[in-house]
Amino acid sequence: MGVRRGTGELSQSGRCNCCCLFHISSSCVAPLFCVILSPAAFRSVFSPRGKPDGENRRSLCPVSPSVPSRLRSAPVTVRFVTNTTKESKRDLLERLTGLGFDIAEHEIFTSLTAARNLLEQQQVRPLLLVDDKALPDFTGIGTDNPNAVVVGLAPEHFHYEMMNRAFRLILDGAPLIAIHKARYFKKKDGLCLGPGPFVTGLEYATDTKATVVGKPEKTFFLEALRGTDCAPEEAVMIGDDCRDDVGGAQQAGMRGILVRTGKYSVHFRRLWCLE
Amino acid sequence: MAGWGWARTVRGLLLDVSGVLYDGGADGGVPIAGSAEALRRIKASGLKLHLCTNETQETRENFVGKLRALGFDVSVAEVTAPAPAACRLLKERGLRPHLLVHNDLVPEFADVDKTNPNCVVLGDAAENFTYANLNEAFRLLIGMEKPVLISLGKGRYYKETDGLKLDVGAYMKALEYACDVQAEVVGKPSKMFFEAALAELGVPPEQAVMIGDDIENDVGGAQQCGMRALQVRTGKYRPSDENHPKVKPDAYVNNLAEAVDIILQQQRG
Repeated sequence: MGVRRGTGELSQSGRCNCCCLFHISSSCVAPLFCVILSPAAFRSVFSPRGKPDGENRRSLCPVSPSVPSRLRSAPVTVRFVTNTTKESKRDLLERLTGLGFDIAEHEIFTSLTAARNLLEQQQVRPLLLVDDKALPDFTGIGTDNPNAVVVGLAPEHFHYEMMNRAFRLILDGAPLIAIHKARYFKKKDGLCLGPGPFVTGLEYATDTKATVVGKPEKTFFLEALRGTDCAPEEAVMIGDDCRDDVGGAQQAGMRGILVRTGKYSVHFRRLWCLE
Repeated sequence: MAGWGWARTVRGLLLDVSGVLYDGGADGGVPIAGSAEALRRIKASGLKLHLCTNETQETRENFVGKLRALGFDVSVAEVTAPAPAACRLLKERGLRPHLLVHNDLVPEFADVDKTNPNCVVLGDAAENFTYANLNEAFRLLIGMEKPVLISLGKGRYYKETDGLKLDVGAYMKALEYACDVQAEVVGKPSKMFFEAALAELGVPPEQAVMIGDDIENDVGGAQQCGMRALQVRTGKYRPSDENHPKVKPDAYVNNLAEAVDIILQQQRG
């Protein structure tokens, strides 16, 4: 089997995806020794009928929990990367271990981690427009008298007063950090505005550009690799989102592999010009 | 005064209101020093005068009532504002709006059919800019075969007595991004809007001057229409405006009173 760089797609068909994973780590891309997985893809890799990332636990195919250990017994470093804006690292870890995966906290790198790292680098005190559930990831970061603005998915903060507050800080020079810029997301009762529109409004009003820290930003992947002792060209990203996972990783100099599970669908293949 | 020679040929003044005549606020706002007197002097000089505002937080009647209470001698007929212009556009195109506007502006749309909406009209809704309201507008737009978003102005921000506030433009951009649409702007800096105000003023663009505190919407928009334009250093003015990459006013003035002083002086000279 082979990996085609251009499409980031495994060419072998009719085989279970966990085997593909195994092949990646063991033989076909031997020089690549860091595997980065998006948990959404990760879960769906092991759940043949898996739907796109959902909050619900779902049944997994029987082999699934063994796969991380198989990866681990191979000479690779593994990181699990995701664009969550409201699930703290601890909650995510709990959910994944609850599903039977043997994962350590330091192996998880999320867009919230990336935001936190950036705040620490710039030594700024953020106004956090993030979901309460995400706050544990910012423990220890000072927020008094803020001089930065972080925007995640936080409908309860997206109102006139808070937007004005964020706007004034940015106009006075506070950096605007966006966890990501998704236009909308889907809820049971229909589509809902994501953080992207609110970030865009603040960008327009202040004539600035937000620093986006999540996938598919190049810095996200480079940050995720930091501490792995692994260069981008030695790493492979496996995910179910052609743009955010595969495209972003390739932009950062990594290889990208698209799984045919999760949000992958004919629609996405067409959308991202794979056909 | 050097560079003001053109002011001799001026026959009419278009004035922005918020940030030029007064600074708005929850308390009704406060007049900017010397502006009520400046307005009287323009009228006494025989120069024509018209107000060109993007105000969409209340009806024109209430707006004028507030200005009169602050000491400004103005009437409804002297004000061009986006809501009446939007009503004309909606009727011309058979559009039925869903309104995301300030509660006090709703009466302007009393005569417009709002059932089964086929477009969204966005104004400076202030406290009505809640997540739920924005989401409702978003869902309507994303559900339309050809989404029509009409924005009453596209200002970035404006000044109230308690500080700068996000203007409708920020929320317009948010919905544009979410729905991947381009809003149609009714109000400054739209050329059609300035032309409507000039028609009310009764003066051709080359003999008119716009005075405003918004470098893009007042100054840039008016210049695009062939008018002269001055920026006042009041209201939302920020020193960084003087380094704007695209727009350069014909002159800066400290306030409306100074603009009127110089123009009248040139007219006598």
